[in-house]
Amino acid sequence: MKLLKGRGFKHSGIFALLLFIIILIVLVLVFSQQILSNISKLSSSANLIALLVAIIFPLILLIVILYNIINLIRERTQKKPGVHLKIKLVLFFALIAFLASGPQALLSINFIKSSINFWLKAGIGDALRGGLSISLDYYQSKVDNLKMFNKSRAIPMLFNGITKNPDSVWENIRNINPEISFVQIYNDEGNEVFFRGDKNGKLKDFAAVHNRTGILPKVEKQDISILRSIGKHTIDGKTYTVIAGIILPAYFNKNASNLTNSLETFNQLNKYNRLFIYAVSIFYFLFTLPILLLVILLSFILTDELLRPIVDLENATRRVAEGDFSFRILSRSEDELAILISSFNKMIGELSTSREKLVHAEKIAAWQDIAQRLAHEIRNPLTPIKLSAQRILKKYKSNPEDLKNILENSVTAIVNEVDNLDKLLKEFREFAKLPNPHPVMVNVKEVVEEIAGMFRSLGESITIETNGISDKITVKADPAQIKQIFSNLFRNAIQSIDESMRTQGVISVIADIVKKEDIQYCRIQIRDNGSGIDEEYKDKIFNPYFTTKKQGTGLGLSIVERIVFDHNGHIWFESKKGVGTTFFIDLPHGEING
Amino acid sequence: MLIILFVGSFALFAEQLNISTSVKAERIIVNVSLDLEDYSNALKTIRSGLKSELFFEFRLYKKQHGIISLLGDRLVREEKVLYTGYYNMYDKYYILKRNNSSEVVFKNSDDFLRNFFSLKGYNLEYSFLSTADEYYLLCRVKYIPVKLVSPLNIVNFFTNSENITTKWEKITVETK
Repeated sequence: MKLLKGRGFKHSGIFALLLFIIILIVLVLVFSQQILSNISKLSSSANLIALLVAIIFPLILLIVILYNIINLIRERTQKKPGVHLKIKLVLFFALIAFLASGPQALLSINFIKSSINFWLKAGIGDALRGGLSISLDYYQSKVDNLKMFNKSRAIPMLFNGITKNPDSVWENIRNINPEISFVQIYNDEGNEVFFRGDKNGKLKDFAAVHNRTGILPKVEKQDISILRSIGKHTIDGKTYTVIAGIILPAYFNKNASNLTNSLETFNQLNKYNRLFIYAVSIFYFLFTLPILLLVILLSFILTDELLRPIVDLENATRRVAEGDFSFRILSRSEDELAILISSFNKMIGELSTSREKLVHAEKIAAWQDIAQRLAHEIRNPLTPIKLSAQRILKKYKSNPEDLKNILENSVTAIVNEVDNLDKLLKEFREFAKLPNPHPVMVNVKEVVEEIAGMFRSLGESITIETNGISDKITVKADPAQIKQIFSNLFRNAIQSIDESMRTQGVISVIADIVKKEDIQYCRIQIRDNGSGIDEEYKDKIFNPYFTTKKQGTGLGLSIVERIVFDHNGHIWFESKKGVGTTFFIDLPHGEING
Repeated sequence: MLIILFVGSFALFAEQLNISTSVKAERIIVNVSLDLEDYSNALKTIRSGLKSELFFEFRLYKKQHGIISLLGDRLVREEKVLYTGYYNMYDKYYILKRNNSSEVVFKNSDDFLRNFFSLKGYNLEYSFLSTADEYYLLCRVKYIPVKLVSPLNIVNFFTNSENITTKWEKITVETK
């Protein structure tokens, strides 16, 4: 018993690909995060991942898919079972994958585009610029105020009495300039002589600034910003360094920073809006493509796995149809297809047993039929033999002198009948022991011409036309057996034409190439204009020992049918009473010469 | 002892990369500057409130000899310095940030530009520097006029014609 390996479902390949897809998605997510954090700082390993994901990986996948497509085309050309279903499934999977990713990509990109456009058109830019302008004006007014304060000529007068009545000095300053948050004064020696106001503004390291004048860089301290201006002033004949400052409102610096950053982002968005959309589209495409390709590849593998049991079943069914009942399919899986395969194997087993029984019964029936026919055929000549012998004996006993008058006729009759018996047995032997064919390439026209010539040489006045056979048509057949086919059919055709009409009798032979179920056949038609076959005999003419002729053995057409069958061919006929008969023979076609 | 060994100047289309190296003790001191044809755009970008970036990339190679040289020269040191330059609109001064840590403030735009486009006295430390071996340094400068915020920065991944990346310039490091 032949076993077709049940390949079942090889899940490993599918799982590996699924794992690959998941890894790829994770890589994409990780890499996206890295890009979003800062693309300019991407490490070489990240660049390698990008290169791998964006170029090399899809390229490898594309090569593998192309290889699979070429295989699929080759299988289609070879008409391998299941290939059409496989193409449909692969196209279906690819379409689903595309439909799942394509609109999603378009939707995402359009969403990003509309979101950006919304923010750009909503007057946010003007608001930000306006806010910055107000903020800068506000800041500048504070700076200008400090500058003006320290440049004021009224300062020496204002600071008169800083040692005697400092609180009064501070009160005066606040009255003149309420924005001043603190004032700090150092003498020539660098010692602090005056400080009033917000203690947060107090400068601790005077040495670092004692040579400077004007506005000092803004200082950020926790959530406040301090603006200071330094000026040198002569008060009561001594030189003092006056540090005046303004404490900006809480979170001014943070808010100002937020404002400038927002404006920076907005300006960038405004400037790179289009390029960003293109970049997002390319980015999306580059990372979606490998996943799309992987899905297509997965569809190839999955389709293959799905179709294997079906192809195995188809293959097994074909083998069984060809008569090979020893075929079985093995399946390692435990799914519905395995149940189907098991049922199929069981069915084939039962079919094989039934067939064996049927063949055995047919054999017995056939031999019984042949034995009956043979007995009948042998018995027929025995009666005239017996009658002739009894006649000779009777004459010999009653009138021996007159024996010679009947002897010759009676003995001739006996000899004729014995000859008929001998011929019958010879043909039976030929039929029973028909040798196996040894096919070679045979030119149909040459064979037909040879047999026609033989009949012509025997003095047959009938016309045999062979114009309908191309010189180039050949069949793969045993030459002796193919000649026997034509010889038997020509003899039958001649015998079907009334002797008086034989000069008008025509046998025409036509041969051409036909295609049936992907196999090329040479179709030979032998047509006569004889009496035709009676309707009642049409289903019996191929039966051994069936004949409508007085001299026929009834084995001629049986032998023809047997030879055609042995050559994997087919024979049938069409006949109309009084018009003629056409025999059709399909034999496997050989090479066409030339 | 400071030995000036090699000074290289590499002209590009509109910009020029100047590199010089010297060796002091086990340190390679590198001076790099990128000369632009026109600095006005660089300054304009910064003055408009955008941030610019400049990357100095260094690769120190040790020359290989014999069969092993077929595998290429050995990369012994790789370093990258990042400059970020921007303008403080409130206080009206330029800020140069090195590797996102130390900050230098400039009131004058020329001073800022001169410092932004050059890296002076950079110490490329390599403790195994040997006078018996031959070394060379590859240097590249990448100028990004507008440091894009995330996620706009994916634009840089594909193309951004404003960015300038010089080719790798080779300069021999004479240790003898």
